[in-house]
Amino acid sequence: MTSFLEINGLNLSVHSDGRVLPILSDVSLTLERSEAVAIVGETGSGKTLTARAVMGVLPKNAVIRSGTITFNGVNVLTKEGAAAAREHIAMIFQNPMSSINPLFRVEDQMNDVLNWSLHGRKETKEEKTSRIRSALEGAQCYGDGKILRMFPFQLSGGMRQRVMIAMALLRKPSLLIADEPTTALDVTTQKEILSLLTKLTKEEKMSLILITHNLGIARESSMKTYVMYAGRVVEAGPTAQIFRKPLHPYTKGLIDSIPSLDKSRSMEGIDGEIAQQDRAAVGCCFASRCSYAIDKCLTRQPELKELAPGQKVACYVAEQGGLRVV
Amino acid sequence: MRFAEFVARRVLLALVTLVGLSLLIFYLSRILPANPGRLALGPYATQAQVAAYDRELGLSRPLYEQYFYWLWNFLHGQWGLSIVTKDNVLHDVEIHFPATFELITISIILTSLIGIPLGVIAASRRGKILSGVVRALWMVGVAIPSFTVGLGLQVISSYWFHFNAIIGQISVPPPTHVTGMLWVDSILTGNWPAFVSTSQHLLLPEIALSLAGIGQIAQLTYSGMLDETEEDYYLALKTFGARSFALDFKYALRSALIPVLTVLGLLYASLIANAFLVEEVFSWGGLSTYAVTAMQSDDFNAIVATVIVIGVFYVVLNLLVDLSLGYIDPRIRLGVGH
Repeated sequence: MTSFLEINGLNLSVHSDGRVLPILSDVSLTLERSEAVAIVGETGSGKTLTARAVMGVLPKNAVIRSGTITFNGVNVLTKEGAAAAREHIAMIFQNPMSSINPLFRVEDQMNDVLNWSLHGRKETKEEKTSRIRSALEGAQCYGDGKILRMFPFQLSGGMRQRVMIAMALLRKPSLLIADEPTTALDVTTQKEILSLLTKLTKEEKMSLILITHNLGIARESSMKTYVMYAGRVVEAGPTAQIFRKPLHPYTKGLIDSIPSLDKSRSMEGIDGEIAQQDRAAVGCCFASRCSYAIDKCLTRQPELKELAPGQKVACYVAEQGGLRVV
Repeated sequence: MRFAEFVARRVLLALVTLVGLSLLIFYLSRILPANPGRLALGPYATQAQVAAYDRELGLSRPLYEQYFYWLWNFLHGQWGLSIVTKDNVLHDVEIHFPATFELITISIILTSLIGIPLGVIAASRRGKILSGVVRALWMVGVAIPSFTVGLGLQVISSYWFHFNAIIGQISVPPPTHVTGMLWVDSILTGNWPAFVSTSQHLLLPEIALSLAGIGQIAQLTYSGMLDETEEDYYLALKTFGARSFALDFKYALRSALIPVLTVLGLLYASLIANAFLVEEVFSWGGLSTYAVTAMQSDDFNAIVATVIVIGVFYVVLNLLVDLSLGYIDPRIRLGVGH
């Protein structure tokens, strides 16, 4: 029995100035129907490219070297498969300021999005209008259709993201990919958009992939979490379990760097900088920043292994029984 | 701000510009170190005759008085006599302007109709031959002056292809006068032989005039379109199932057109003054030729009139460009920052 979405051993490179940079290494991910999964990681860890590979909208200089992606049993790495998958997957983006064309009224763009999803099927104007209205209501955009006559730049950031979500809803997706959907918004709006996404996944029986660098968001809105670092999945498992007992030093570092109001717990960061992906791939990708690293970490990349029920980790130290400072 | 208010504001600004232009050109024409009476009457006229001539033209009165007198006459179609043609300047302009206007308007239409789609298609098949063609066309167009292209075309077409419509506007009896634009008139009056002849005569000067513009507009559209395909909304609409035709020609082109329209406006306006060399090469006898002759002979009524006509053309064009930018980009029309 295959999962709803399955990414298996995905390797992806980017060609830049005649050089070939490996960006994703051996990324695997599974998602079931109606499941909400978070992909967490720093900027440049390959979260967005993973999502774009699923949508079949990779940048022109990106090449998939090996691996498979199947959605609903269909291989999306073929042109036809990607087009078929796009019918059921919708994606919303980080910056609602730039992800809606500023020169067209909300109405125009929603109409087009709806028409594209019909594939030549005829619908009356009334049917279309009511579908657009119900999509807007589904995304909690109220305002008596006034929004429809507005241009994107006349809307606030939160409203734009709602319009974006409404456009996605028009396609009645069974999987919604939200790429940092709240990063560009202020905190209260963040909260509203997140609860909207959670509500939608429950009501519409949608699956959700939530890409974020914010662990708090992952914790609140997902059942499973994938932690990515330098183009690799370093830890994956049930969200609650990962937060209670992170096994990878990077995950632990991320959790420790969340500011807390509790004064007894001090905030800690992770030393060093994000690993450059064009460096020689010897040893664990995180070894240079890891305070637990042992000799073995510097020579070979560890594989993902299930070390706790449902929780996979790529770390030699964790394999040997836990994180002790050496 | 509604669209009507936007239009009214721009029209008002255009009028202010025109008043400024008329003041400036009037003043400049009156401080030229030339003696129009002496020039008109020749070296053998007596001082008294010259003074009488100046009085007749009102040249002895204070400048501000002359300005209002001149403006009043100008608005009533009295543009003064040309020293060279001895005719009312308005009449001269009526003869010469349509020829140039037709030439450059067809050129700008060709430039848009060829240049913009060329840029869009080149951008949609990145790395393919067409983008190279666009780049080459652009460089060639910028590097070779249009009159050189004209001369080359004349030599090639007459020498090798025995195509003889290389000078003038028409080589059969002209069509009945409607607008003064021969090609347009031959269509309006259904005059087939005149239509064929004017089309042939238009061919070479249009190529010479449009080549550089086509390259420039295609290149500008091309790079604008490439930028648009990098935008988030482009990706977003693509994931929402947009066909690439709708995406390119509706969504991306609209943004990419903003700089293109501005440059098209500038091109069009610059053509009216710069078509001179091409007009010379093809013995076109348009407004530019008239203006240059006027300048060479200190024919100040003609100079003032042609400068004003060209100025009005600029201002009207700018207005049209502003209005169409406002139409395309709601942020301009509604006065909001990006």
